[in-house]
Amino acid sequence: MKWALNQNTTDDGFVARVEKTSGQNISSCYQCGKCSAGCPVCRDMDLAPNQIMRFLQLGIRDTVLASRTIWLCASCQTCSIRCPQIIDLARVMDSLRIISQRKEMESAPNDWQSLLAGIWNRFKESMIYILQMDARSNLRCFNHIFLDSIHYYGRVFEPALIFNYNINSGYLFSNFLKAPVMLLKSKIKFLPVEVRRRDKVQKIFERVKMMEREEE
Amino acid sequence: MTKYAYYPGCSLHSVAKEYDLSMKAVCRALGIDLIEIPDWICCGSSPAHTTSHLLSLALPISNCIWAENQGLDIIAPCASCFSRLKIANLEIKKDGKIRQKVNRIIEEEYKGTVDILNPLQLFNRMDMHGEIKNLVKIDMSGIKVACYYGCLLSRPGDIAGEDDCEHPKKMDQIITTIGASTCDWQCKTECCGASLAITQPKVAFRLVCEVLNSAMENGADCIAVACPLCQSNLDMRQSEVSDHLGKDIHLPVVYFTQLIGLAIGINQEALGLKHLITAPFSLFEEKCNLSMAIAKG
Amino acid sequence: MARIGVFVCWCGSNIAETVDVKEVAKYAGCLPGVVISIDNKYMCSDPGQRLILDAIQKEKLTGVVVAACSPRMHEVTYRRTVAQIGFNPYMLEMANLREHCSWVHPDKRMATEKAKDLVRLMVEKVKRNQPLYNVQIPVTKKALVIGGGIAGIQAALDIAQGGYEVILVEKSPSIGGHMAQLDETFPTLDCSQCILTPRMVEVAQNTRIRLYTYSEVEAVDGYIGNFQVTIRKKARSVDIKKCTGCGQCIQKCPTKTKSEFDAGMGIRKAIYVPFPQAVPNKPVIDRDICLKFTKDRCGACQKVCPTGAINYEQQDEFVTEDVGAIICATGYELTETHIYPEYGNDPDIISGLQFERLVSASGPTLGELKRPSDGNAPQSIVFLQCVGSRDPLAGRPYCSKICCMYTAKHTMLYRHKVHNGKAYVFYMDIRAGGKNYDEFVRRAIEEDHAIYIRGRVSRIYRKGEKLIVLGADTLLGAQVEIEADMIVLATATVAPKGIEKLAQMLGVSYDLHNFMCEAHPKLRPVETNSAGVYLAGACQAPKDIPESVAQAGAAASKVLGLFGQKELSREPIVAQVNQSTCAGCFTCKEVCAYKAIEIREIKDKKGNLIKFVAEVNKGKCQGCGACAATCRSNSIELCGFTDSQIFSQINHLTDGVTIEEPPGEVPMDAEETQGVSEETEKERLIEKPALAGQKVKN
Repeated sequence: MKWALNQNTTDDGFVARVEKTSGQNISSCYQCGKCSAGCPVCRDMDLAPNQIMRFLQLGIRDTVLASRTIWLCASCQTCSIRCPQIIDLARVMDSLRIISQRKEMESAPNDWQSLLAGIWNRFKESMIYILQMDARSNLRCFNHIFLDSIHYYGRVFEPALIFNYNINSGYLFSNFLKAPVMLLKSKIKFLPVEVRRRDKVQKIFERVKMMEREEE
Repeated sequence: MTKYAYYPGCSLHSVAKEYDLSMKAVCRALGIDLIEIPDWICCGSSPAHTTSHLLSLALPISNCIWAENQGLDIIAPCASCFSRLKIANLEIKKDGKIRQKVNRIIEEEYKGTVDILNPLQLFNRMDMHGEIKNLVKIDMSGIKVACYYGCLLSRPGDIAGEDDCEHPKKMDQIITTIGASTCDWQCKTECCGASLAITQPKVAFRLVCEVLNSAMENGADCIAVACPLCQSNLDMRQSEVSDHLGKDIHLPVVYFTQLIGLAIGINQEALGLKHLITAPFSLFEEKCNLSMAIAKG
Repeated sequence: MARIGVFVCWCGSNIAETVDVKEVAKYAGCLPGVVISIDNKYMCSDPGQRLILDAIQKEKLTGVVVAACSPRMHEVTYRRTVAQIGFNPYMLEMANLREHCSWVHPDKRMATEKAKDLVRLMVEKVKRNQPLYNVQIPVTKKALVIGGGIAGIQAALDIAQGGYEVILVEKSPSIGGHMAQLDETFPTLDCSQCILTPRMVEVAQNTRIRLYTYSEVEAVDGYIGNFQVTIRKKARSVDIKKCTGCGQCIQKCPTKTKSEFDAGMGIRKAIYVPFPQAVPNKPVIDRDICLKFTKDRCGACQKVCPTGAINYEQQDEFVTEDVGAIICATGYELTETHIYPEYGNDPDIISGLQFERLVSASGPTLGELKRPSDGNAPQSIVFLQCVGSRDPLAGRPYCSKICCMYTAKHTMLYRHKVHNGKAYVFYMDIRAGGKNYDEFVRRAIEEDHAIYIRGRVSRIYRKGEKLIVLGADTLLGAQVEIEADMIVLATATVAPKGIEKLAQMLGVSYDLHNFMCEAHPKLRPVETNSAGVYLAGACQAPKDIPESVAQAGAAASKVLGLFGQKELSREPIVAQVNQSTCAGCFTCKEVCAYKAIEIREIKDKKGNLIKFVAEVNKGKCQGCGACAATCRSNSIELCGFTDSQIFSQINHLTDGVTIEEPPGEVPMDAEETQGVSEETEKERLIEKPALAGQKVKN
C-alpha cells in the first residue's frame, strides 16, 4: 500500500469540516491506540479507530469515508471517555457519518405519497447494496427508515421499521424469527400511535435541513 | 409527593412495556408522582445523532419545553432517551449559540433549566435508599445479580453524574439495598452491541455472547438492566448464544425496577414479568420462595 | 602485632544472593591477625559505618578490610569515615565482593570460596600497609575556558562572578557559538540573539575575563592547580587596537565566499565580521581566499582603512598562561546534509542550522523564507529527523538529542511565516523529555498542525519544481509519497573535527564518537579523569541550551570550589624514590605518562655534585606504577601498593594458608574438595566481563 500525499489526494477542507462538525481537534491525536484497545467492535472493522484518526490527520478523505469502520462504530463511547488527549472520538465517527449521509438527507418525505416514493427509491438504491451487503448501506438504510418513521408518525413504530428495513436492506427475513416471540410476549403493537403535533415534527425536520444547508 | 415529568420514549410503549409498568408501580409505592409529558415525540436516538447534530438536539429539546413550563425535572427510564435528552440539555447549557439555533428550530423559548434523570439517579437521590429498605418485604438474599449498565448510562462522563463511568455503583447499591447480592464482573459497562443488533447482527451477537458468558462465569443468577435496548438484546438471543457457546445459558434479564417491585411486594402482575422472553419465574420461586402464579398470568 | 577488623557487606541482595556472606565473615574471623569479623546488610549506611567505628575503638584495630563493592564506588566513603576518629584512612582497604565476585559468578558455592580468597588476600595486604598522609600542592587561581559558545560564556561569567580571573579562548573570530546562529529557541520561542548577545557583551566588558578570539590552545602542561597553557593567537591581519570597526574595508573587499555563520546560505567577504553582533566587533582577513595573500594583488582594505589597522605582515603569536583549572566547552558540529546517498544532493535539501539562518531576521534573506534553488517560498516542507543519528549503520547509534525539539520549533516557525504551508515531519520517536518540552511538540502538532509521520524516508528525488519524498508511515502501515518544495534534515550532532587532539592534550578520555568522557556519568558529570579539567556543553554529548548552561554553571562551581582552597590535598598514592639506591638511569622518566619524574642533583655538604637521582613530583604523579615496575635497581615503590604488599597477596593466593577449621562446619568430602579446588581455582581467577555486563545495575 502506498499513499501519495499531495493537493489532489488530500483534502484539508474535509478535515476542517470534520473538526467543525465534531468540535474535536484531529491533530491532537497522538496515536497511542487506547481507542482501538478498548473498542468492542474493533476486530470487525477494516480500519481500527486510531487508523481512522491517522488517515484524517493526513487528509486522506476517500479511505475514511469508504471504510466500514465508521458504520460499525456502535457509539458506545468507550473511546471517548478514555482518550488521554480528550478527543471525543465517538463524535468524530458521528461527524463522518453525518458528512457521508448529508446528501441523502435532502429528500425526506412529508406525506404518504412521498414516503412511499422515498421507500421505493431507496429500495432501488438498495438493490445495488444487496449485492454488496456492506455495513455502510445497512446503517444508512436503517437510519433513514428510522428517521422517516419519526418524521411521519412522530414516534418509532417498530414493526414498520423492521419491515421496511428488511425490504430495503435486502435482509428479507432477518429478525423475522423473533416476531412470533415478540408477539407472544405482547411486545409488539399492531398500530402506530401518531402524535397530535405531527406538523410540528415535520417542521423541525425541515428547519434542521434548512439551517444545515445555510451552514454549508 | 414528589412530582416528575415522565418521558417514556418509544421503547417503553412497545418492547419495554414491562419497564414502563414496573417503573410506574415502584414510583407509586415510593410516593413519586410521574406525569407523562403530553404528546411527546421520539428523541431521535442514534439515527438522529449519526445523521444530523442539530436534529439530535432539536428532537429531545422539543420534549423538555413542557417540563420547563411546569417547573419539573424529567425522568427518562430508557437509557437511550435519557442519554439523548441529557446530552442535548448539557450542550444547550454550555453553548448559547446552539441554544438559539435549537430554539429557532422548535419555535419555542427553551432556557435549559430542566434536569434529566434516569431511574438509577432518581432512586439514589436523597433518602430514597432508606425508603426502599423500609418497604422491603421479600427476602431476596438468595439471588446474585449481575448489574449491567451498558454504554448509555455510564458514558460520557458528564452524563453518568457522580457515578464512576468505568466502575458505576448506583444499580449495585440499589440491588444491595433490597437485600440481593451483586457480582463484580468485568462486563458492567461493556457494549452489548444493541445499536448494531439490526444492522450488524453478527457483530452484536458476538458482544451479547461476551456479556452473557461473563455474567454466567461470575455466578450471576440474573442480569439487572436499566436500558430497553440492552434488555431486548441480551434477552432475545439466549438460545442462539447457548448453541454458540456450547453451554446452557438461561439468565433472566430483568429491569432493576422489577427487582425492586418484587422485593417490596408489589402486585406481581403490575411488574410485567411475563413480558420477559427468558422466563425468570423458576429463579424467583427457587431462590426467594415466591409463588409466581399470578405473575405468569 | 596486627589487629585487623573485617566487615562484610551484603549490599542488599547484590552480594548476598551469590555469596554466603555469613560464611565469609565466619571464615575471616578465623584468619590470623583478624580480631573481629562482622557482616551487615548495608555497610555503607550510617549504622554500618558506625559498626566499623565502634570496632576500631573497642578492638583497637590497626587495619580494616571492608569486603563490599568496588573501591571506585565507596573507598572514599569508608576512608572518610574512619578518618573522623583519627584512624589513618590508608590503613583501610576494600575487598571487592560485588563487581569482582557476586555479579560475575553464577555459582554460589564457588563464588563464596572466591570471596573468602579475596578477603584473605586483602587482610594480608592491610597487615603490611603503612600510614600515608595526603599530599599538599599549591593552586593558581585563574581558570582557562576553551570555547566561546553559550557553555563557555556561561562558565567564564560564573567564575568571574566568583571573583577569579578567567581566560576565554575561542577559535573563530567571535564568541557566541551556534546559539548566535539560531533564530528562536525552544520551548519558549524567545529570540536567541536577544538572550545571547547581552551575555556576549558582558564577557567583553568583564575586567576579570581575558578574551582570546581567533585563537587556539596549542599545548597544555602541568597538573591540577598548576597548568601551563600555550595559546596560539592566529594572525587576524587587523590590528584590533587601531581598528574602529567602521566596516569600510568590508565594503570594498572584492572577494566573496560562503558565510560560515550563515551555514552556507549567505555570503561574506574575504575580510569580514562574522555577524553584526560579533564580539569583538572587529574584522579578520581570511587568508585562504584574500587576493593579497593568494595572488599578491588588491590591497583595497588597506587603502580604505582610515586608521591603518590592516596589517598583512601580522604573524601568529604565542602566549603562555598559568592556570589552575581548565573548562573544556568546545561544543559540537552538524554532519553534512548529504550523508544518505539515497536522499541525493539537491540544493533544496538543507540542514536544520541552514533553516535557522533562512528564517532568522538577521539571516541572508532577512527572515523571508526562500528556498535555495529558486527563491520561492516553499508551500510544503518535509522535515526529517534522525538523519545520521540513531543509525548504527552510519556509525552513530546515539541520539542527537536536540533535533526533536528544534524540528518541532522549525515547523512552528515555518507555519508562522507561511500560514497555509504544509509541514510534514518524519520521526522515529519524539524525544521531548524536558520541562515544557512535550507540551511544545504537542503545540506544533495541535495548534500549528505539523503533520508527524512515524517512519523513515527511503528516497528523495526531484520531479520538476517539486521534490518527491518516499517514506513509510508505520502507524498507517503503508508507504507514503509526499510532494515537497524543500527538505530540512535534522543531521546528526557530532564532535568537532580534530577535537581528539585537544582531548589528548588535556589528558581527557573520549568515546567512540569523540565526545569527551565525564568521570562518572551520574555522580561526577562535569569532572574528567584528568584532575582539574572539567567539561561543559555539547563537547561531552549532544545537549541543548538549557542543559549546556546548567552544566557550565556546574563546571564553574567545581572550579570555584577548587579555587576556594588554600592548597590542594590529594591522595598519597604516588611513587616514592629511594634516592640512596637510585642509579640515575632515568628509565622511569621515559615511561612516565604524566611527566612526573624530575631530575634532582645530590650534592655533598660542600656543594659538590655527587649524582643525579629521580624525584617524583607528587602533584603530577597519578600513581600508575609504571616507574616502579620499570626501575632496574628496585628503587621506586608505589605508596599503598608496595612490593611487599603485592607479593604477600600473591604468596597467599598460590600457597594457600592453613587455617583452623571454623567450628561447626561440616568437613567436605575429600574427593569433592579435590574436584572443586581445580575448578574453583580457574573460576576464581578468571573474570567474566560478559556476565558482568548482564548483571550490572545502574
